[in-house]
Amino acid sequence: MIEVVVGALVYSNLLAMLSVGLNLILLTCKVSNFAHGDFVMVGVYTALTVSTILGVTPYACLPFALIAGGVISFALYRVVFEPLRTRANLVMLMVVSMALDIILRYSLHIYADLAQAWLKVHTRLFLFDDFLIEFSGVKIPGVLVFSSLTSVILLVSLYLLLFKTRLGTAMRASIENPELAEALGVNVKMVFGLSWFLSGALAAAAGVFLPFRAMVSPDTGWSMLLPTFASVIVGGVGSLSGSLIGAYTIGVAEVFLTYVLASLGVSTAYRPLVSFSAIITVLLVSPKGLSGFLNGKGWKPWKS
Amino acid sequence: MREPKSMKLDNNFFIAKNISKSFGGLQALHKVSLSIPEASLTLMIGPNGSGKTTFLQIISGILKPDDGRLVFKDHDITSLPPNLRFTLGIASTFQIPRVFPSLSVLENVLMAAGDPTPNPMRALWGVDEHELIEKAFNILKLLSLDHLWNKPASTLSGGQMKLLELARSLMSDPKLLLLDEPLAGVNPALASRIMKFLTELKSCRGIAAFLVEHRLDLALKHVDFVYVLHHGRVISQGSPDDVLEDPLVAKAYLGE
Repeated sequence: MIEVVVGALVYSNLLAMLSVGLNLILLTCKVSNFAHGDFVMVGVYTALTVSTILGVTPYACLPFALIAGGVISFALYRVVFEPLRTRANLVMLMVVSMALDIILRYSLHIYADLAQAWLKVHTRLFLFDDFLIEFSGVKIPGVLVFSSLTSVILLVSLYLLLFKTRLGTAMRASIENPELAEALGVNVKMVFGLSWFLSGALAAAAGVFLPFRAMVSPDTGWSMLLPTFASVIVGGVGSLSGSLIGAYTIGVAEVFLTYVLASLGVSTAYRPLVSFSAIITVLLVSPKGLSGFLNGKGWKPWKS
Repeated sequence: MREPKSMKLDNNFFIAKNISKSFGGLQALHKVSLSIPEASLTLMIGPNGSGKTTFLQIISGILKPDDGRLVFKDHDITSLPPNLRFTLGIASTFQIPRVFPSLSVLENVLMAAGDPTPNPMRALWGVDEHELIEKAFNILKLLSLDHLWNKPASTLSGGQMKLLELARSLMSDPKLLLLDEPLAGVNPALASRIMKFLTELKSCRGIAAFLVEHRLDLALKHVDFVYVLHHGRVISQGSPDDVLEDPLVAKAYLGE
């Protein structure tokens, strides 16, 4: 049972980092980014590569993963989404992101092949070795401690950036009215590019912790995408704090329902049912998610 | 048409030369020329549909003229986009105030303090944040908005939003303020406060303002120079008294 609780918490921490990043891109560029899961895998393979070369624990590779995920995400924005920003509609942007998902995923497959030959390690279906940390006699898996610390530190930093600095103010202003922000001299392109960097970096950070709990391959990013979208929708599209609530709701619900299914002797392969059902239920009952339900009002990026 | 008396035509602060603009078949502006001297209040009046707002949007860069040139402090700005005109020192306010509704009053003003992206680390570590916030507060105090600094802009009244827009445009230390109907929908007391404030800006900070307005009663006595626009042409120009006496103006306004 303790194992289930640890699993749920780690999974929710990762979902929190992922869904806040996904939601940030929805807010700034109105892109439902289907390539978001691939940034997770960028983090996974950065951690694998660097930890193998340097011979250190993958946790120490977090800074490299943040930079790799951020830079690739920023580059995608500058090359693809920035030119499309004022020209394409929501559906086109979504389809473009699906195409990018395929491109990134197969690039990662190629990288996995190359890395396997080069580093002489398994690059598919591998696990990272974890260690236990002892707190006054209680042994806690390292991944729980480090993923919790990382998600708290990164998300608090994001909050401080958005609400306590002028750069963050410019970002919130550009979300509300990009034309007006531009008329006031703000370089909206750079501000939105920064949001892509942050989103990619957060996702790659989640990637560092994923292989401690689950065997991964370049396709794993895709399976992380569904619960991430579910978290964003449950929390409310456009509400970053809502995404946090959504992430922990979906994360805990998924792990515990899987546990119940397993103890009833049903296959755990039905786990995605939880996310799908949550998406449909929330959209039918409270389209703005939990945050909309609690506030009685909410943001409507779809209509703007 | 009278020749302008009080202005030198060789003034090179702001000059618009032969600006023409048509929408489809409709000629909105026909060879409009004017000049705005440094530290002055210039008013453009005209009946509805005379092309005032079109002209203002051409100066601020929202619209491109079909023909003609704009010169600001010896720069040809005719083809510059709005954000670059803004950085040169031309700030605009709008007929319907445009603010960021969920940002606080203070944050709205800070938005005009310059682009934070070229040097994100500076903006991040808050090197000059403190000075900027102080400056923003001083401006808000001038306009008596300082007590509302932490309120989201969406909670302000229409008049307060106009003042907030004015505060925001002052944050960038503009040289030329473009004001589209700053007195529309504003009560007379606030209107005369705004006009007095603009006069103060002119004399204390040397800021020129160009107003488009049709509430003559409130604006006329404060301004230095008036242009009258009718059917896209300048039909009269001069000091407020000259323009009031011009029979062409009365005719245009009474629609005879």
